[in-house]
Amino acid sequence: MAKTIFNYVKLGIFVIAGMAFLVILLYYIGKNRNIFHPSFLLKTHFQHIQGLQPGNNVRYAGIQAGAVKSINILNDTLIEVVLDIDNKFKNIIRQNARVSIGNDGFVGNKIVNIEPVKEEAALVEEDNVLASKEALDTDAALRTLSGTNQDIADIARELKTLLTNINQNPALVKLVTSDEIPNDIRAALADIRRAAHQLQLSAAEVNTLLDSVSRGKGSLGALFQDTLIYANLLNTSEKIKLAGEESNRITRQVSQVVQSLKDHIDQGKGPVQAILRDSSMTHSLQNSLENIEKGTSSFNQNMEALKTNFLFRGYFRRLDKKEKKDSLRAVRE
Amino acid sequence: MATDTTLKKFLDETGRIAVFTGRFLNEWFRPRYEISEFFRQCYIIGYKSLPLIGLTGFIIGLVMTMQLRPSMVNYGVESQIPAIVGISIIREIGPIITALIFAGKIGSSIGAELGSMKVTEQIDAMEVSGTNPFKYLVVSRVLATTFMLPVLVLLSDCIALYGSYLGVNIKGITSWSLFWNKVFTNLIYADIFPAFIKTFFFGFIVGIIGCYKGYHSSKGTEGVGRSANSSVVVSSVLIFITDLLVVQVTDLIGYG
Repeated sequence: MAKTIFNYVKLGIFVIAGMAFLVILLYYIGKNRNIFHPSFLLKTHFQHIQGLQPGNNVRYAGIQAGAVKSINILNDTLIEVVLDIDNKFKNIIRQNARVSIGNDGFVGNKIVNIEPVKEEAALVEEDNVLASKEALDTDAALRTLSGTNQDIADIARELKTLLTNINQNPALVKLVTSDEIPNDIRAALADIRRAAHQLQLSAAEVNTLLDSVSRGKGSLGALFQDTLIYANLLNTSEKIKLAGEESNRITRQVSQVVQSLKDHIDQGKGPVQAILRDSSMTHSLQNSLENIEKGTSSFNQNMEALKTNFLFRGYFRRLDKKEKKDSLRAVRE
Repeated sequence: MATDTTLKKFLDETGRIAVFTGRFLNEWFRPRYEISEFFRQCYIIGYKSLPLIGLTGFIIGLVMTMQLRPSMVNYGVESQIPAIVGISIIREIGPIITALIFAGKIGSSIGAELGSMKVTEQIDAMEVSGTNPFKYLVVSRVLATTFMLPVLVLLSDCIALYGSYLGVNIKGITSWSLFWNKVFTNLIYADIFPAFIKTFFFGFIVGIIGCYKGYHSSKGTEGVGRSANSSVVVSSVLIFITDLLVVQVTDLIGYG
């Protein structure tokens, strides 16, 4: 009897194990198909669904988000795809998200990809229609690939011709196979290395100099760093400013004087007006100048008479000799 | 003339099996129910078949994965091995291999047991003693095979997939969770339900053919051997025919 009960227990475990596997199998398949989760529907339209079927997976940014619920033909050029999306994506998917049909791997099942876009938009609601993006047309891709292959073939042919030409050109071959060119390049590289070394040294010196300047050493450093020089410069500039103001003041005074003279001239006052406007005074001035000219002429005659006088003749001769001597020395120099 | 005889025998046998099945369906619902005998048969037919079925399933999963691998690698779809093996085992390989092993072990066992009871007139003795031998021997066994084979198939599938997991990891690295995720992701209910439902028919076929062959055994011990043998052969052929019909029906109703 006890053995019979034990056998029944074993039978029970056996049946429960089988049923458990069935339940797990059904649960996980249902989980993948959103059967045991609350979900909502989204729609999208395509011109060509490329073999998409109800039950195919829907992914949002690569994450499993639901499954294709149904596919309806709206008209001869438009097909509606209804997507059953897990409710947890309701607060993630936005109305401007783009839907496209892709492949799960190169030869895998068709999948629907919902891709987010960067622009802000409201969150989706039940039965919203998302914009679709036509997937890559395989035929078009193959045509492009064929064109690319042709281009590659053309380039290869050109390269072959070019290499043949190079091989047939002795000058180019010599250029490539010459021993001198590597030596020249090596020498050039050595020069470049030396120049770089010099440049490095110069840079170090510049650094040292800049360091000195920054620490206030030397005249340039003092100029940049000495506060006394800075104060002096400020003082100097202040003085220059004062001098400018003084010159402005003098200019204003001169201008006032000129204006005053002009006013006097215009009003017929003062000596300048008399000189410029009074005709009698002009006449007397002319007479005075003639008298001075006559006096000067008489003075010249007297001087000529003195030169011939025996008392002053010696003096004038010495004066002539000195003048001649000076002129000869100037010519020699 | 010989063809006519063979055809006549075939049709006669088919008719007899149909009548036997009808009697089973008639007796099944009527009391008195042999509950205890049913559970005893479930234990013998189901539980005691698990080691053999499990071992077969494990080897099938492992070998199938290892055989698939080179071709899958050539096509660059090595990562799809769990998905392909999962679908193959759940949809077809698991049920059919388990049913054939089950027919070999249980069909022959029932045929031989009932055949020996028949030739030793134990069945007649049961009738004389007031026990309904059909209810006690046939109904309990057919019901046990019908309900135990689906459980065995489920466990066999599970063990076969575990074998496949080991097979995948012999020459590659696929984590436990990734393997099962790939298996479950690529399965749909249309893979599970037809495969699961047809196992009830397979179990019924093994039980009813085994019981029929044993119950109508004759010609002494030679007849017992023939009953055991023919029950396995006929059950196996009927399993394949039923499988073909199930595939056609599921295809017609859109679950193919």
